[in-house]
Amino acid sequence: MTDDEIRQRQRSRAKVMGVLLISLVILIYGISIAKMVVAP
Amino acid sequence: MVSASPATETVALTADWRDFLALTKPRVMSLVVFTGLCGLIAAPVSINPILGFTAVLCIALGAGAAGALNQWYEADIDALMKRTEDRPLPAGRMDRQSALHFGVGLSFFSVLLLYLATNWVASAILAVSILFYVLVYTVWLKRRTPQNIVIGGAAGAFPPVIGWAAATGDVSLLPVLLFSLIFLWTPPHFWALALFMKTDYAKAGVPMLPVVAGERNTRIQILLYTLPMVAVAVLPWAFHLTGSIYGIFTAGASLLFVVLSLRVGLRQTVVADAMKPEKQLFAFSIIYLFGVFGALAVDRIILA
Repeated sequence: MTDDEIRQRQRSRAKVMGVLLISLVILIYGISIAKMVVAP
Repeated sequence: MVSASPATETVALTADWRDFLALTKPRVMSLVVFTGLCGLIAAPVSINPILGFTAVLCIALGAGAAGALNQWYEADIDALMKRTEDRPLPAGRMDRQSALHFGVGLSFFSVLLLYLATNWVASAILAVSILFYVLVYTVWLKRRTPQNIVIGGAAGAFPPVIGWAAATGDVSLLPVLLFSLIFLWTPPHFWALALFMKTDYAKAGVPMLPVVAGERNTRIQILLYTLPMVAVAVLPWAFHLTGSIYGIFTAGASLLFVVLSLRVGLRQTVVADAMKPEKQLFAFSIIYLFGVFGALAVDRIILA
C-alpha cells in the first residue's frame, strides 16, 4: 500500500468519524428534547 | 513519546471505515434490527419517535458490537472457511486490537445510550444479549459442542424483547413468545446452512451437528425443532395477543416451513448432491422470520 493510499484511507476514516460525531451530537440533542416532552 | 512498531502501524492504518462496518456483520444485523423494531411496534405503549429510533439504533449497535467481538475472537477459524476468509481480520486488513477496542467501545456505548434514551430494563437486556453472544456462544460453546447454536441462539432472540421493553419498561407474555419463536427458529436455520457448508465447518474444526452427529441426525433434528417452532409461532394468535392478520399469515408461512423441513428431513444426501432443498429451507427461513415479524407489525398498526 502506497503512502498516498494510506493518506486517502486516513482522510476517508476522518470524514466518516466527523459525520458520526455530528450525528451523535444531533441525536443526543434530540433525545434531550424528546425526554423533556415525554416527562415535562 | 511511545510509538507503535512500523509493522503494527501499517496494519492498523490499512483498515478502511468499510472494514469497521464489515466487523458489525451488517447482513445479520438487518434481521436483528427488524425483529427489534417489530417488538417495539407490537408493544401496547407508544413511544416518542426519536426515542424509538434511538432504541432501534442501540439494538443495531449492540448487535454490531457483538459481531465485532465475535470476529475478534474467531479470526483464526474465519481464516479457514471460504465463507469468512475475506473478513477484515483474516484478510489482514485490520489488527485484532482495533477490532477488540471497537467491539468493547461500541458495546458500552450502545448500552449506555439505550439507558439514557429509554429505561434500565431494555438497557440491561441489551447488555445480557451482548455478553451472552460473546461469552456463552462465541467463547464457551461454539468450539466445544454441537449444541452451540441451540443455546447460543438465545442471543439472537433478545431484540424483540429489547424493543418491547424500550417502549413499556417491562417484559410480558408476547415478547417471551417472540423470544421463544426466534430461539426455536435458530437450529433449523443454521443446521440447514451447516448441511451444505459442512466441509467448511469440518475444516475449521467447528463441531456443527452435521460434522459431529452426521447428516441423518441433523435432518431429524431440523424436523424436531421445526414442529415446536411453528406451534410457538401461532401461540400469540391463539392467546388473542395478536389479530387475524398475524394469525393467518403465520399459519400459512409455518405450514410452508414444515413442508420444506419435511423435504430436508426425509431425504438422504446423494453423490454430488447440490443440496437444493437445504438451500431452499435456509433461504425460506430468513424470509419466514421477516414475514412473521412484519405481519406482527402490520397487524398491530392496522388492527390497534
